[in-house]
Amino acid sequence: MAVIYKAPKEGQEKQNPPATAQPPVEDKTEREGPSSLKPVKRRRKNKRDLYHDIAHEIHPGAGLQIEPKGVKFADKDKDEEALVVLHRHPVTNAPWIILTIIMFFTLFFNFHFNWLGSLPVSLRLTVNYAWLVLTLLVAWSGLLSWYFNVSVISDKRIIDVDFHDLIYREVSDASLEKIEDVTHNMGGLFGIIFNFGDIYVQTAGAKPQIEFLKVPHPAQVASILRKLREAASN
Amino acid sequence: MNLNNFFADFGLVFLLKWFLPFLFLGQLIFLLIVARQIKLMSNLFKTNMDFLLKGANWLLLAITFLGLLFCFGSRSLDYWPTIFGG
Repeated sequence: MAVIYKAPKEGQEKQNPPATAQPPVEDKTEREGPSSLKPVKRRRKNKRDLYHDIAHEIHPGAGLQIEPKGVKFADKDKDEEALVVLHRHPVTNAPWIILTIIMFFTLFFNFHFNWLGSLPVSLRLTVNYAWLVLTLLVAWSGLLSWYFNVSVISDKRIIDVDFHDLIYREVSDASLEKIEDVTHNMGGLFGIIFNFGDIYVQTAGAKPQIEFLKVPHPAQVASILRKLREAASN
Repeated sequence: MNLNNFFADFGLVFLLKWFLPFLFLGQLIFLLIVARQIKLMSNLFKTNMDFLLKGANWLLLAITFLGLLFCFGSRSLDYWPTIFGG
Protein backbone atom coordinates (compact mmCIF):
# COMPACT_ATOMS: atom_id res chain seq x y z
CA MET A 1 0.00 0.00 0.00
CA ALA A 2 1.44 3.18 -1.03
CA VAL A 3 1.63 5.94 1.47
CA ILE A 4 1.11 9.29 0.02
CA TYR A 5 2.94 11.96 1.89
CA LYS A 6 1.33 15.31 1.65
CA ALA A 7 3.73 18.12 2.05
CA PRO A 8 2.30 20.71 4.34
CA LYS A 9 1.47 24.02 2.92
CA GLU A 10 3.57 26.98 3.79
CA GLY A 11 2.78 28.19 7.28
CA GLN A 12 0.66 25.16 8.12
CA GLU A 13 3.48 23.23 9.82
CA LYS A 14 3.81 25.80 12.53
CA GLN A 15 0.12 25.83 13.25
CA ASN A 16 -0.37 22.03 13.31
CA PRO A 17 2.87 20.36 14.30
CA PRO A 18 3.12 16.59 13.94
CA ALA A 19 2.34 14.51 16.99
CA THR A 20 5.84 13.11 17.15
CA ALA A 21 7.39 16.54 17.27
CA GLN A 22 8.82 17.92 20.52
CA PRO A 23 6.35 19.92 22.55
CA PRO A 24 6.90 23.52 21.69
CA VAL A 25 8.80 25.60 24.14
CA GLU A 26 6.44 28.08 25.71
CA ASP A 27 7.19 31.49 24.45
CA LYS A 28 6.81 33.69 27.48
CA THR A 29 6.80 36.93 25.63
CA GLU A 30 4.06 35.62 23.38
CA ARG A 31 2.01 34.37 26.35
CA GLU A 32 2.36 37.60 28.29
CA GLY A 33 1.61 39.56 25.19
CA PRO A 34 2.96 42.91 24.16
CA SER A 35 1.09 44.67 26.95
CA SER A 36 3.15 42.96 29.68
CA LEU A 37 4.24 45.34 32.44
CA LYS A 38 7.54 43.57 33.03
CA PRO A 39 9.71 45.58 30.67
CA VAL A 40 8.04 48.79 31.79
CA LYS A 41 8.63 47.91 35.42
CA ARG A 42 12.25 47.08 34.72
CA ARG A 43 12.71 50.35 32.89
CA ARG A 44 11.08 52.26 35.74
CA LYS A 45 13.29 50.51 38.28
CA ASN A 46 16.33 51.34 36.23
CA LYS A 47 15.25 54.94 36.09
CA ARG A 48 14.85 55.04 39.83
CA ASP A 49 18.26 53.45 40.27
CA LEU A 50 19.64 56.07 37.97
CA TYR A 51 18.07 58.81 40.08
CA HIS A 52 19.60 57.31 43.20
CA ASP A 53 23.01 57.02 41.56
CA ILE A 54 22.81 60.66 40.53
CA ALA A 55 21.81 61.71 44.04
CA HIS A 56 24.74 59.81 45.53
CA GLU A 57 27.20 61.77 43.42
CA ILE A 58 27.15 64.38 46.16
CA HIS A 59 28.22 63.73 49.73
CA PRO A 60 25.87 64.52 52.59
CA GLY A 61 26.95 67.26 54.91
CA ALA A 62 25.81 70.23 56.90
CA GLY A 63 22.33 71.19 55.69
CA LEU A 64 22.32 68.54 52.98
CA GLN A 65 20.91 65.05 53.42
CA ILE A 66 20.93 62.30 50.84
CA GLU A 67 17.98 59.90 50.92
CA PRO A 68 17.07 60.64 54.54
CA LYS A 69 14.78 58.19 56.28
CA GLY A 70 11.39 59.15 57.63
CA VAL A 71 10.98 62.33 55.63
CA LYS A 72 7.46 63.21 54.59
CA PHE A 73 6.59 66.20 52.45
CA ALA A 74 3.59 67.80 50.81
CA ASP A 75 1.49 65.48 48.59
CA LYS A 76 4.05 62.71 48.76
CA ASP A 77 3.12 59.69 46.64
CA LYS A 78 3.47 56.21 48.08
CA ASP A 79 6.26 55.33 45.70
CA GLU A 80 7.92 58.71 45.90
CA GLU A 81 11.20 59.04 47.75
CA ALA A 82 13.17 62.07 48.82
CA LEU A 83 16.57 61.97 47.16
CA VAL A 84 18.05 65.17 48.52
CA VAL A 85 16.81 67.37 51.39
CA LEU A 86 18.35 70.82 51.52
CA HIS A 87 18.34 73.36 54.31
CA ARG A 88 20.23 76.62 54.42
CA HIS A 89 23.89 76.16 55.25
CA PRO A 90 24.20 76.05 59.08
CA VAL A 91 26.67 78.93 59.04
CA THR A 92 23.81 81.20 57.93
CA ASN A 93 22.40 80.69 61.43
CA ALA A 94 25.32 82.64 62.88
CA PRO A 95 23.39 85.95 63.37
CA TRP A 96 20.70 84.52 65.64
CA ILE A 97 23.16 82.24 67.44
CA ILE A 98 25.46 85.20 68.20
CA LEU A 99 22.47 87.30 69.29
CA THR A 100 21.35 84.49 71.62
CA ILE A 101 24.81 84.17 73.15
CA ILE A 102 25.03 87.95 73.68
CA MET A 103 21.61 87.95 75.34
CA PHE A 104 22.62 85.09 77.65
CA PHE A 105 25.84 86.83 78.59
CA THR A 106 23.90 90.03 79.26
CA LEU A 107 21.92 88.09 81.82
CA PHE A 108 25.08 86.84 83.52
CA PHE A 109 26.62 90.32 83.47
CA ASN A 110 23.43 91.65 85.00
CA PHE A 111 23.72 89.17 87.87
CA HIS A 112 27.40 89.87 88.29
CA PHE A 113 27.33 93.69 88.16
CA ASN A 114 23.84 94.01 89.62
CA TRP A 115 22.63 96.48 86.99
CA LEU A 116 19.04 96.31 88.21
CA GLY A 117 20.02 96.79 91.83
CA SER A 118 17.71 99.76 92.24
CA LEU A 119 14.61 97.70 91.45
CA PRO A 120 12.59 95.77 94.03
CA VAL A 121 13.72 92.15 94.39
CA SER A 122 10.64 90.48 92.89
CA LEU A 123 10.55 92.90 89.96
CA ARG A 124 14.24 92.32 89.33
CA LEU A 125 13.65 88.61 89.27
CA THR A 126 10.71 88.98 86.87
CA VAL A 127 12.71 91.21 84.52
CA ASN A 128 15.53 88.65 84.43
CA TYR A 129 13.04 85.86 83.82
CA ALA A 130 11.38 87.79 80.99
CA TRP A 131 14.79 88.43 79.46
CA LEU A 132 15.60 84.71 79.64
CA VAL A 133 12.31 83.81 77.94
CA LEU A 134 12.95 86.44 75.26
CA THR A 135 16.41 84.95 74.65
CA LEU A 136 14.93 81.47 74.29
CA LEU A 137 12.31 82.78 71.86
CA VAL A 138 14.95 84.45 69.70
CA ALA A 139 16.81 81.15 69.50
CA TRP A 140 13.60 79.18 68.93
CA SER A 141 12.36 81.38 66.08
CA GLY A 142 15.81 81.27 64.43
CA LEU A 143 15.93 77.50 64.67
CA LEU A 144 12.41 77.04 63.32
CA SER A 145 13.05 79.41 60.42
CA TRP A 146 16.08 77.33 59.48
CA TYR A 147 14.32 74.00 59.95
CA PHE A 148 11.19 74.79 57.94
CA ASN A 149 12.92 76.59 55.08
CA VAL A 150 13.52 73.40 53.23
CA SER A 151 13.91 72.20 49.68
CA VAL A 152 13.31 68.60 48.69
CA ILE A 153 14.43 66.90 45.50
CA SER A 154 12.44 63.70 45.10
CA ASP A 155 12.51 61.16 42.30
CA LYS A 156 9.48 62.87 40.75
CA ARG A 157 9.69 66.59 41.50
CA ILE A 158 11.34 69.39 43.36
CA ILE A 159 9.59 71.07 46.30
CA ASP A 160 10.52 74.37 47.90
CA VAL A 161 9.00 75.28 51.27
CA ASP A 162 9.61 78.87 52.40
CA PHE A 163 8.78 79.87 55.94
CA HIS A 164 8.95 83.62 56.60
CA ASP A 165 8.91 85.15 60.08
CA LEU A 166 7.09 82.10 61.51
CA ILE A 167 3.83 83.44 60.14
CA TYR A 168 3.99 83.30 56.33
CA ARG A 169 4.76 80.27 54.27
CA GLU A 170 4.98 79.50 50.58
CA VAL A 171 5.19 76.11 48.95
CA SER A 172 6.04 75.57 45.31
CA ASP A 173 6.85 72.43 43.40
CA ALA A 174 7.59 71.33 39.87
CA SER A 175 8.04 67.93 38.29
CA LEU A 176 11.51 67.00 37.12
CA GLU A 177 10.38 67.04 33.50
CA LYS A 178 9.32 70.67 33.82
CA ILE A 179 12.75 71.90 34.83
CA GLU A 180 13.98 74.11 32.04
CA ASP A 181 17.04 75.88 33.27
CA VAL A 182 19.18 75.60 36.39
CA THR A 183 21.34 78.50 37.47
CA HIS A 184 23.48 78.75 40.56
CA ASN A 185 25.52 81.54 42.02
CA MET A 186 27.98 81.84 44.83
CA GLY A 187 29.23 85.02 46.31
CA GLY A 188 30.41 86.77 49.40
CA LEU A 189 33.20 85.92 51.75
CA PHE A 190 31.28 83.34 53.78
CA GLY A 191 29.72 81.81 50.67
CA ILE A 192 33.13 81.09 49.21
CA ILE A 193 34.69 79.93 52.47
CA PHE A 194 31.83 77.60 53.45
CA ASN A 195 30.73 76.72 49.91
CA PHE A 196 27.10 77.77 49.90
CA GLY A 197 25.03 79.75 47.43
CA ASP A 198 21.71 80.13 45.64
CA ILE A 199 20.14 77.91 43.00
CA TYR A 200 17.45 79.21 40.65
CA VAL A 201 15.37 76.65 38.81
CA GLN A 202 13.36 77.90 35.86
CA THR A 203 10.29 75.77 35.34
CA ALA A 204 7.42 75.56 32.95
CA GLY A 205 4.98 75.52 35.86
CA ALA A 206 2.71 78.17 37.29
CA LYS A 207 5.56 79.59 39.32
CA PRO A 208 8.29 80.19 36.76
CA GLN A 209 11.18 80.15 39.18
CA ILE A 210 11.94 78.06 42.24
CA GLU A 211 14.73 79.26 44.48
CA PHE A 212 16.95 77.29 46.81
CA LEU A 213 18.66 80.00 48.83
CA LYS A 214 21.99 79.70 50.66
CA VAL A 215 22.14 75.94 50.22
CA PRO A 216 25.42 74.04 50.61
CA HIS A 217 27.33 72.80 47.55
CA PRO A 218 25.26 74.76 45.00
CA ALA A 219 27.35 73.67 41.99
CA GLN A 220 26.95 69.98 42.76
CA VAL A 221 23.25 70.31 43.56
CA ALA A 222 22.68 72.22 40.30
CA SER A 223 24.56 69.50 38.45
CA ILE A 224 22.37 66.85 40.07
CA LEU A 225 19.24 68.77 39.04
CA ARG A 226 20.43 68.93 35.44
CA LYS A 227 21.18 65.21 35.37
CA LEU A 228 17.82 64.39 36.94
CA ARG A 229 16.08 66.54 34.35
CA GLU A 230 17.86 64.69 31.55
CA ALA A 231 17.08 61.31 33.13
CA ALA A 232 13.43 62.27 33.57
CA SER A 233 13.01 63.55 30.02
CA ASN A 234 14.57 60.40 28.47
CA MET B 1 -6.69 100.62 92.12
CA ASN B 2 -6.11 104.12 93.35
CA LEU B 3 -6.45 106.25 90.21
CA ASN B 4 -5.42 109.44 92.00
CA ASN B 5 -1.99 108.01 92.63
CA PHE B 6 -1.80 106.10 89.35
CA PHE B 7 0.99 108.22 87.87
CA ALA B 8 2.32 109.37 91.21
CA ASP B 9 5.41 107.19 91.05
CA PHE B 10 5.87 107.26 87.27
CA GLY B 11 9.31 105.90 86.41
CA LEU B 12 11.20 102.76 85.41
CA VAL B 13 9.54 100.61 88.07
CA PHE B 14 6.10 101.82 87.06
CA LEU B 15 6.77 101.12 83.38
CA LEU B 16 8.20 97.68 84.04
CA LYS B 17 5.28 96.71 86.23
CA TRP B 18 2.92 97.42 83.35
CA PHE B 19 5.16 96.27 80.56
CA LEU B 20 6.14 92.82 81.85
CA PRO B 21 2.68 91.19 81.96
CA PHE B 22 2.02 92.36 78.40
CA LEU B 23 5.43 91.07 77.33
CA PHE B 24 4.68 87.62 78.73
CA LEU B 25 1.20 87.70 77.20
CA GLY B 26 2.69 88.59 73.81
CA GLN B 27 5.23 85.79 74.10
CA LEU B 28 2.46 83.37 75.02
CA ILE B 29 0.39 84.36 71.97
CA PHE B 30 3.45 84.12 69.78
CA LEU B 31 4.20 80.59 71.01
CA LEU B 32 0.58 79.54 70.49
CA ILE B 33 0.80 80.77 66.88
CA VAL B 34 4.10 78.89 66.49
CA ALA B 35 2.50 75.71 67.90
CA ARG B 36 -0.22 76.01 65.28
CA GLN B 37 2.32 76.65 62.56
CA ILE B 38 4.38 73.62 63.59
CA LYS B 39 1.27 71.48 63.34
CA LEU B 40 0.41 72.88 59.90
CA MET B 41 3.98 72.71 58.66
CA SER B 42 4.25 69.06 59.64
CA ASN B 43 1.84 68.37 56.76
CA LEU B 44 4.29 69.99 54.38
CA PHE B 45 7.55 68.73 55.80
CA LYS B 46 7.91 66.16 58.52
CA THR B 47 10.89 64.24 59.82
CA ASN B 48 11.57 62.00 62.80
CA MET B 49 12.47 65.17 64.75
CA ASP B 50 8.88 66.40 64.66
CA PHE B 51 8.00 65.29 68.19
CA LEU B 52 11.05 67.13 69.52
CA LEU B 53 9.85 70.38 67.97
CA LYS B 54 6.40 70.00 69.47
CA GLY B 55 7.84 69.06 72.85
CA ALA B 56 10.22 72.02 72.90
CA ASN B 57 7.41 74.39 71.97
CA TRP B 58 5.21 73.07 74.80
CA LEU B 59 8.12 73.50 77.20
CA LEU B 60 8.57 77.12 76.12
CA LEU B 61 4.83 77.68 76.48
CA ALA B 62 4.98 76.35 80.03
CA ILE B 63 7.97 78.56 80.88
CA THR B 64 6.23 81.63 79.49
CA PHE B 65 3.00 80.86 81.27
CA LEU B 66 4.98 80.50 84.48
CA GLY B 67 6.38 83.99 83.86
CA LEU B 68 2.89 85.38 83.42
CA LEU B 69 1.79 83.73 86.65
CA PHE B 70 4.85 85.11 88.33
CA CYS B 71 3.85 88.66 87.34
CA PHE B 72 0.49 88.31 89.05
CA GLY B 73 1.58 85.89 91.73
CA SER B 74 4.18 88.20 93.21
CA ARG B 75 1.61 90.73 94.33
CA SER B 76 2.16 89.72 97.92
CA LEU B 77 5.77 90.86 97.65
CA ASP B 78 6.60 94.32 96.37
CA TYR B 79 5.57 93.84 92.75
CA TRP B 80 2.14 95.45 92.54
CA PRO B 81 2.01 97.81 95.52
CA THR B 82 1.03 100.94 93.63
CA ILE B 83 -1.20 99.53 90.94
CA PHE B 84 -3.36 97.28 93.09
CA GLY B 85 -2.75 99.10 96.33
CA GLY B 86 -1.02 96.08 97.83
